[in-house]
Amino acid sequence: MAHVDRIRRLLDLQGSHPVERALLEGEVVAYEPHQTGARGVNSVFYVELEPDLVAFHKPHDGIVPRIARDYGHSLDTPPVCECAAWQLARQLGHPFDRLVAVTVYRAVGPPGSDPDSWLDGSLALKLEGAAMKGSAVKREVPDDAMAAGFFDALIGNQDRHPGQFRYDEPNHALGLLDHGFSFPVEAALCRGAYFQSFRRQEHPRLTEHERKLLRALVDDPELFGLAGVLEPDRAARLRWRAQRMLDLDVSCSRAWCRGPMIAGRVGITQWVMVVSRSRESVLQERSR
Amino acid sequence: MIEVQFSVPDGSVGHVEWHVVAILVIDGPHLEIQGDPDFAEVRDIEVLDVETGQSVTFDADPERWARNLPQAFRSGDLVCEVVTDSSADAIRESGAIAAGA
Repeated sequence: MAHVDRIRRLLDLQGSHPVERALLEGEVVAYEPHQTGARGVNSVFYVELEPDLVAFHKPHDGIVPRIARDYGHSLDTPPVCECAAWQLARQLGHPFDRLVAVTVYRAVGPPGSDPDSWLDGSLALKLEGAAMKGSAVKREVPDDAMAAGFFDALIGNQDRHPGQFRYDEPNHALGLLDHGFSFPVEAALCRGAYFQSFRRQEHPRLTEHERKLLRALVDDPELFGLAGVLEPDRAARLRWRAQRMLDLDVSCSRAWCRGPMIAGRVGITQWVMVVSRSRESVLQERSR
Repeated sequence: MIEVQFSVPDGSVGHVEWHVVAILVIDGPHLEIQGDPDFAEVRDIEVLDVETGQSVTFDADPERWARNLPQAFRSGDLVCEVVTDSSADAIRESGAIAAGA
């Protein structure tokens, strides 16, 4: 299936969510590049849409090829993966559709310019809150942090670091953003795993709700519609990660996206860790 | 010495303005944070060295880490920029002298 066909499938998935519709249909009133022109940084545009939305547009043309290649991506994939992450979150439902930034695929450009000259890319809703609030997130909304660990494990997030989420402290709202480098191919680079590490430390076992979601995903030949959106090897790895998590009953670590050999070893380590943690907790309870 | 600046957009004034929320000053192995103290968490970020494709941590090579930090921030609502790089300035100056400028 060609890139254009995958985009067509993605467009078919979009529009059922009210915020998606607002992002897709809102008239562009501002479109400005961010102030830095630093070499080697992917281009992102600040966008204002009628009636009152702020979002960020990442066109295919703004991707730095070297960075994409290092993450195992091409210029075609990051905007599609970013939209696919939202579509997966939307279909997984609560709490994931609340945590992940609503993102659509559309062309955007300066208001007043010819829409035919606008660039295709991902358009993600601006999240409230500040960056670098990991300590507060883990302390104040640990359940959301653990859900984020599950989500990142499932999408194979390749770079979740403390600058890749926002925390709105007054409203205790965690927001996950920037999923362009996710859905990795086998053996691709995975750099940051902020919430996966937290999940592994706190409660690696899947919850019943998570098991149910994973079963629904692996039982669906269309992977909730993403089989036609992601490249075949990326879709196959999504299914593989979901099945692996089910088989071992843990929310897996970042090393799992590197390949079956490493993944197998890590899987066993994880399983041993779960068992040893369970034994520790039993012993602790007995000693009390 | 390298100075890295973090800015966030504010579009409430009719056009977008960028406000600095934190500045990191990296001098040898020392890291100083001005502004939001929570940006101490930035030290945990592992970055990609665009030239070599290698991962770099702050502990391994603070200045190389700082030079590559901007590309780790791709969301657009938090912009990271190297605003001062004394070694790059020194290289440029020595190049200008060699060229007879």
